[in-house]
Amino acid sequence: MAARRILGILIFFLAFGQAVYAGEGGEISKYFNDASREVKATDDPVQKRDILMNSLQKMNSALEMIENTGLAGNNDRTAAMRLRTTLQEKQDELMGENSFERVSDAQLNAFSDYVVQDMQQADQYVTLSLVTILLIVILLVLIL
Amino acid sequence: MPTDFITAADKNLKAAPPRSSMVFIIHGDADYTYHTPDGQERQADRRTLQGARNVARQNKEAEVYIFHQRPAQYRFFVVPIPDGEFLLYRNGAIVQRDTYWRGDGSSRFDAEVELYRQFPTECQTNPARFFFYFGHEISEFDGAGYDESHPERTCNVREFSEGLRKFTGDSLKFDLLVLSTCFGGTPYTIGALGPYTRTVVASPDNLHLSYFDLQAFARLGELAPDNDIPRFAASYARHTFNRLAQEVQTAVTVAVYDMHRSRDYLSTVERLYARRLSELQDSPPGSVEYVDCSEEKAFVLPGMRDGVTILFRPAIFGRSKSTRIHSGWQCCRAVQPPDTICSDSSEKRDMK
Repeated sequence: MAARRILGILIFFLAFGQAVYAGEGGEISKYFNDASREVKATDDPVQKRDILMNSLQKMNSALEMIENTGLAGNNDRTAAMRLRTTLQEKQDELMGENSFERVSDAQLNAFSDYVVQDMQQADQYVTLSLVTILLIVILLVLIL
Repeated sequence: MPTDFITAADKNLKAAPPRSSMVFIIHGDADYTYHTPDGQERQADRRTLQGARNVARQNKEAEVYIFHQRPAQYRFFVVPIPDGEFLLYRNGAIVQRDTYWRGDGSSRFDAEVELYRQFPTECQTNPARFFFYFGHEISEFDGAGYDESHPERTCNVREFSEGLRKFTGDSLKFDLLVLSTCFGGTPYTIGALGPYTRTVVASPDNLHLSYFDLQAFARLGELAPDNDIPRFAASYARHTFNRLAQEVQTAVTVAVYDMHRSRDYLSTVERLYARRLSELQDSPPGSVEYVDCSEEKAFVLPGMRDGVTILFRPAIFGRSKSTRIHSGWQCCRAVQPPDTICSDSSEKRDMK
C-alpha cells in the first residue's frame, strides 16, 4: 500500500515537477529547521537530545534507502553518501562517540542551529536532483 | 522605459554631484532561503534588495544601480513576467525603476551592462566605485545549472570577470568589490577579478545564506568621509564578521584582498592552480571539495599572506572546531577520505 502511495505521489511530482521546483530546494534544511524549533520549544535536555537524534537518524535512513533502492542515479548516490557522512558525524558528536566530545546540555539549542545552517550550506554543494529530494520528503513523511 | 521619476531627482542631482557610484547585482533565482536562529524563513535576495535600497536612500551623495535578477515567473501560468528588476538612485532619490528581460543569450551580464550604459554615471569628479554581487558560489568550472531561469546559460568566474570588464570599460577600476558568495576566495577567482578592482571583500569558505550585510554602506559618508576605501573595507569586513560570528554556528571566514599586494602570490600559484582546475574539470558532482590552501603544501609559499586580511572563526561544532587559523585562500581538490582530512587539519595546526 505504501509503495502504491509513493508511486502515485512520485508520478504527481514528476508531472508537475517544474511547478514545485522552486519550493523543494531547501526541503532538507527546512526539515531540520522544524526539528530545531521543537528542540527550542522544550526545556528538557533529554527531550532536546532525543528530538535531534531522531531527526538525524530519520534523514540518515531516508538517504540510505535512496542509495539502496536504485532509484537514484550515480551522482545522487554519491551526494547521498556524502550527506550521510556528515549526518553520522553529527549523531556521533551529539552522543560523544567516535572521538567526538559530547555536546553539552547547555549547547543543544546552538547545536540545533548548527545542524540547520550546515544543511543550508550543504544545499549548495551537495546537489541532489529534484526527484531524489522528493523521494526523501516522501520517505520522511510516509514511511519513517 | 518610463521616465516619470527622473524630473524630481534631477533637481537633487544638480544640487550635489555624486561622490560615489555603486552597482549591485542580486541574484534571486532558485528560492534562496535561510532560517534565522528563531526559526523564521527568510528569502535572502529579497532582504538584500531591501538592504541595497536602504543604502541608496541613505547616501545622498551617491548614485546606485541595482539589478535584481529574479526567477522566471508566469502570470496565469502562461504570460511571462520580466525576470529582471532595475532601480537607479541618485542623491538618495529614485530616478529610474523598471523591469527588464535578462535575455536568453549566452552572455551572463549583457542586459545589465546595457542598462548601465543607458544611464551613464553622472559623477563629475572621480567617484569611489563599488561593485556588489550577491548569489550562489560562482563556479570555477563550467558553471552549468547556476541559473534555473536560463538552464542553457552558464555562470562561472570567467564570465563574471568578463561582465566586470564591461562595467568598468577599459580604463577604470572599481575601488571595492564585495563578493557575497560561497568560495569567493580561491586563487583563480581573486586573480580573475584583479584587473577590475583594487580591493575585494569575499568569503573564502562557505558563506551563510544570510550573506554579507550592507548596513555599513548605508553610513558610507560618515564612515569613509575621505573616501579611504581600503580602511573602510577593513572596518566593513570586521563588522560583517562580528555580525556573522554572533548569528552563525558554522565557520565564518571574511577576507579583504588588496589586489596590488597579493598579485605576487597569485602570479606564483596561477599555473599550479590552473592545472588543478584542469584535472578536476570533468569530475562528477560531489567529488570536489574546497579546503584552506594552507592544507595543500604546494600552495604554501612565501608571500601567501601578503595583501590578505583574514577574519576567521571555526565552526562551533564538528571536526574542524579546533582549527584556529585560515590562510585566506581556498583551494579546490578531489574529495579526500575523512581520515585524511583530519590528519591534514592537525598537520595545518602543527605547521602554524
